[in-house]
Amino acid sequence: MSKEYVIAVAGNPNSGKTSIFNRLTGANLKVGNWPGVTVEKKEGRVVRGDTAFTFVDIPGTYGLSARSVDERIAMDFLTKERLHAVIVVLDSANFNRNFYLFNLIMEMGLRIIPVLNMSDMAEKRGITLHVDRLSAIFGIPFVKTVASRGKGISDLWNVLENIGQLGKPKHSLLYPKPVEAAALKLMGRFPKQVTSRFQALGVLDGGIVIPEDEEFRRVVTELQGEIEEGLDGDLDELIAEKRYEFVYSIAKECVERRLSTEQKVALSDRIDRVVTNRYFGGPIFLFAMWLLFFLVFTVGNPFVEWINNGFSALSSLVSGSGIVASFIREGLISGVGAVLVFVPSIFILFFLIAIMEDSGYLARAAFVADRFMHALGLHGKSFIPMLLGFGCNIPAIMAVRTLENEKDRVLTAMAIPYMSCSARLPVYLLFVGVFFTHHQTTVVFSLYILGIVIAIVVARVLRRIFFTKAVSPLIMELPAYHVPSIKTATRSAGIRTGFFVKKAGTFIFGAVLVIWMLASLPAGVGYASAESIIGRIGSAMAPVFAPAGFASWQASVALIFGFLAKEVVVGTLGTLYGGQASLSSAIGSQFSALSAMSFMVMTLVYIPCVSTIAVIRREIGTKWAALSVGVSVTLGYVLAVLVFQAGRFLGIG
Amino acid sequence: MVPLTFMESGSLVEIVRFQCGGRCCRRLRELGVVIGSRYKLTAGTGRGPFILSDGSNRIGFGAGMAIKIIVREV
Repeated sequence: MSKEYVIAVAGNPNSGKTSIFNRLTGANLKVGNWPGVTVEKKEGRVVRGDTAFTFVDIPGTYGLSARSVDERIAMDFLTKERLHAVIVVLDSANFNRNFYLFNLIMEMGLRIIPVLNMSDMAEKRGITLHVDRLSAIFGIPFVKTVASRGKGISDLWNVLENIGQLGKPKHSLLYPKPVEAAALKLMGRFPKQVTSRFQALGVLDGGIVIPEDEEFRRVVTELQGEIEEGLDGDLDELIAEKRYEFVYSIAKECVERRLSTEQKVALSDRIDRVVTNRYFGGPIFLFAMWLLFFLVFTVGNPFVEWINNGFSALSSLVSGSGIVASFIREGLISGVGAVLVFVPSIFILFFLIAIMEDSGYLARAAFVADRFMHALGLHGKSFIPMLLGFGCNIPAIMAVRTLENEKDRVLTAMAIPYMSCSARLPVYLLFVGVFFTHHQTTVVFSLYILGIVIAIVVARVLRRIFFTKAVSPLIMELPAYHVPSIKTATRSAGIRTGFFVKKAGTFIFGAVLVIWMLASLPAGVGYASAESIIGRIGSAMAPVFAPAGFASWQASVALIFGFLAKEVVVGTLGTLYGGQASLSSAIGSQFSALSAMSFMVMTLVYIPCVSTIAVIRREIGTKWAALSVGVSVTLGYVLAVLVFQAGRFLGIG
Repeated sequence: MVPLTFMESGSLVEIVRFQCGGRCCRRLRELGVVIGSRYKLTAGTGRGPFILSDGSNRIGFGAGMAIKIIVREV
C-alpha cells in the first residue's frame, strides 16, 4: 500500500456518526476495546486504489474534557494518536450545539473533514445551511449527507481521496490577549505540538486534569489568578462564552432559519406529549415492553422448533454406544444444542432493543422512568444501562460509564445483574414451554418485571447504606424520533447474537464437556446416574434446595454450573437428561409448575455469571463485586424458598 | 422570571439565568441550552420531567434541574 491514512470519526451523540462510520467501512469492521477501559472501540480498514483508510469511531460526545469517561477517551485519542484527519459529523438541524464540538476539535489544530449530516431533516424544519459560505470561511470542504439513505457518501469519499491536499481550517477563534498569553506559556508542557494550545486552554478552564506535578499546578493557579483579576468573573465562564460567541457568529452567517413562533409543531414534539405524559407515559412503556416479549415468542418460537427438530434428527443419526457417540449425543447435541436452539429468540430480542434505541424511544423510556427512579434513589439515566441489561449484563455494566456521577455508576452497576439477560431467557423458555404453555408471555414478562423490582430495591437499600447525598439532577438530550433502520438493527443484533453463538461454541462447550465427563465417571457407572461424580456432588447439594422445591441433584448441578454462564443451566440439564427420552418430558416429571417457578426465580437472581462479576470488579472494584455476589446468592435463595413455600401454603402445585 | 418548574406545558420560554454551579452550567451549554435561547416547553408540569424543544433540539430535565433554570415567558 503506498499510502496509509488513519482517520477518526467524531461527533455529538445522535448526530448519525455511526451511520456515517458504517457507510464508510461497510463490512470491514473490527470491534475491540479502548485501551485500559471496556468501552467498545470500532475500527474499519478500507482500501481504495493504492490508499488504505483506517477509520476509528470515537465515542459520541458533546464536549471534550476529562469529566466523563467517554469524553476522556475521545480527547485522549485525538490528542495522543497520529491522525491524518478527523471527520466531524454534525447534525444539520442542531447546528449550534454540534458546531461547538467542531470548534473544540478545530482548536486542537487537527485537519478536519466536516460532514453536515441529516441535511434533509434540517431542510424540512426550514433550516438552510450555506455550505459554500462555510467552506469559504474555513477554507475546507463541508460535505452534505443523509447517511441513513446513503446520500452524499460519494462526495465524502471524493474529499477523502484528495486528503493530501486538505489544509487546516484557516479561520479560528482567538481569545482575549491575557488568555492567549497564558496558553502560550503552558503549551511547551505538552508533548504533541499541534494539540498543545487546546490542552493549555483545557488546563486553564479546568476541562483537563493537570498532571501530578506540584510546580505545574502552581503555575496554572497563578496564571488563572492573574487573568481572573482583570476580569469580572470566572476564567472558565469567559472561555465558554467566547466559544459560544464564535459558534453564534458562524451560525449567523451560514445558517438561515425560516421559523416563526407559530411554526407547525414538530412531529417529535407531538409524540413526546403523549409518550412522556404523566398518566399515559408509564402504561405506554409497560405495553412496549410487553409487546417486545410477545414478539420474541410469537416470531421466535416457530424457528426455535425447527432448530429443535433439526437437533433431534441429528441426534438420532448418531448411533452406537461408544464413548465418542455418547459424547456427541449427550454432550454436544443435548448440551450445547439446548442452548443454541434459542438463537432466534435472542436475535429477535437484540433486534427489537436496537429498534427501540434507534427510533429514539429508549431515551424517552429513561425519561418516563425518571420520576419513578428518582423516588427510588436512582437516576433516570440509569434506566438505559438497565434496559440494555435485558440483552446482556456485561455491555450494560459497561454502559454505566456514560453516567457522570460515581455513586450513580456504582448503584446502577449493582442493580444491573438483576435485569433478566438473554442468557436467562433459554431457562425461562424451557420451563414455560413445559409448564405454562398458555401463559408463556405473561410468566416470562412477570419474571422480567420481578428482575426490575429487585434491581431497584437493591439499589435503594445500597444507597441508604453507602451513600447519603441527594440524587444528581437529570439532563439529557432527546433525539428526534425517526423511522428505525432495519439494516442497522439487523447489523447490531447480528454482532451481538454472534457473541452468543461464539460463547455457546467455546465457553459453554467447555462447561458441557466437563459436566459430561463428570457424569460418565467413575468408569462403569450409568451415564448421568446418581452414582456418577456429578450425581454425588448434586446429591450432596440437593437438600439445601429442598425448601425451594427442586431437590433433584440435576437441578443442583445445573445451578452450580450456571454460575459460569446462565445458559449453562439449560446446557447442563440437556446433558444430564439427554439420556432420557427428551429434556422436556424429564423436566415435566422432575418439576411441578410451582417448583419450575421457584427455579426460574432462583436462576434469575442467584448470582451474576462469572463474566459479569469480572466486569463489575473492573468497573467499580472488588469490594462491590464481592458484595454483589453475596447479596444475590442470599436473595436468590430466600426468594426461591419464599415462592415455593408461599405457593404451597396457598395450595398451588 | 420564574424557575422552569412553574411554567405551564406548551408555553414559550426564554432562558434568563442558571442557578447552578459551573459544572452543570457547562453541561447545559454543551447541550445548546444557553442564556437568551428560546424554547417551547413541550412536556412537563409540577414534578416533571420537563422537555424543552426548539423544533429540532430537545433537552429533557428532571425537576431538580428544572428548578435551577430561570426563564421568562415570551
